[in-house]
Amino acid sequence: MTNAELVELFAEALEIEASAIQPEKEIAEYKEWNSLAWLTIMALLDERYNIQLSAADFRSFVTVQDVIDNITSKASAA
Amino acid sequence: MSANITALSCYLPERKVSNQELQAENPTWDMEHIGQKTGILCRRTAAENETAADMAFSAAERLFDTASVKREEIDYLLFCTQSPDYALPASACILQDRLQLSVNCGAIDFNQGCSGYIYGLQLANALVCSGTARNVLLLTGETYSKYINCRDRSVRTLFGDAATATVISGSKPGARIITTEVGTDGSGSSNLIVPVGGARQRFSATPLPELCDENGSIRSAANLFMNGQELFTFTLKRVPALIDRLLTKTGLVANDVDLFVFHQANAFMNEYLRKKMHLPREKVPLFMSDIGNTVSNTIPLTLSSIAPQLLPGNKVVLVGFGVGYSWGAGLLEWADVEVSPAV
Repeated sequence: MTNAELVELFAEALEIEASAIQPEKEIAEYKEWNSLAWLTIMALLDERYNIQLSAADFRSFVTVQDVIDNITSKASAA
Repeated sequence: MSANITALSCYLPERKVSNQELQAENPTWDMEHIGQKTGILCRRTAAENETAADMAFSAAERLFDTASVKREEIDYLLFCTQSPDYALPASACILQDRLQLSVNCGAIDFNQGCSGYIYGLQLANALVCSGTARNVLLLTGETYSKYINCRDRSVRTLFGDAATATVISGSKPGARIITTEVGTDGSGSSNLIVPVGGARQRFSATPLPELCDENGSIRSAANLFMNGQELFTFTLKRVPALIDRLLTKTGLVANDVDLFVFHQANAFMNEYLRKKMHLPREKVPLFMSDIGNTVSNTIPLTLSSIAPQLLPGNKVVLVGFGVGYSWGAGLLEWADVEVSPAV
């Protein structure tokens, strides 16, 4: 998977354009952000990449880039 | 010896709480978006003075009014609730009296939520097949609304109240309980919980503080708390494996099953589970848009809504999962059941 694919996935979960995703922006600052968006991200990651995020993972995420880094490291470890 | 479901009836409380009403009450909630995701547009809630046992009583009375089973034939009452009338005695004892069941009737409450109907069928099956009871009345009744803080978006938008009544009999024909499977992982207990009010943390005279979480939902420790992400992860981990286990045990494959009745958590979760297991949409009904997630009542409510379309011999898989964590599945071979759906 590429960074662009993950940004696309993030945008899909937030129901916004991929171009509106800024990797260094804090997740909580997106006005579309809510707990349902999290669930959508979890579902899409599971469906497309068979990756499951833990609650501990979620607590450590501040920016979109944090999520991408975590997923990329999980994918390369698998 | 087999145990068969012979009759099923449902009860929904009168009060409707629509998404429009929640939107008007909570201007910051995006109810249109939430409704699209959850598939829930309205939920029913019990009246202030109406309890889970009251609603279960109504469901049972409706059953005795409409089905051929007589109340004097019931020799065991199982009541599944997490909202009992009292810490003690068991609500089932009070219901035995209110329903005028035999004094030789066993009566117990059991505390389960979304897996509760499967547990009820499993226990009823064991009671009947062991010769302990002939006709078991299984009641489910739940009023999470009484635990929910009205400003907690995460749960208020999902849950509704309801009750159901089912008769499981060894001597009469009906939908046969072929087998059941259950499982438990108590390490997830804190992810769906009402922390205060039991013996561990008792109610105190001073009101508990209401705190706002990072999503803007407000609740006290005496309110229902749900960690939706953890519940979602748990479900993805356990439910497909549970269904595999049930099917393997019975020598069936998913294609042999005519209908899957899942616990109606929310449309997002249920549709995700369905797709993950590659099940066709027409075999996995959703029945929550007007009533919400009614915990232990979702499976019998969904079953009652779809019963007219079922044919004798159809294989029906029931699947419950949630609070505990607790999960369970059962396989039925359908036959004529006297069904009185909710109104």
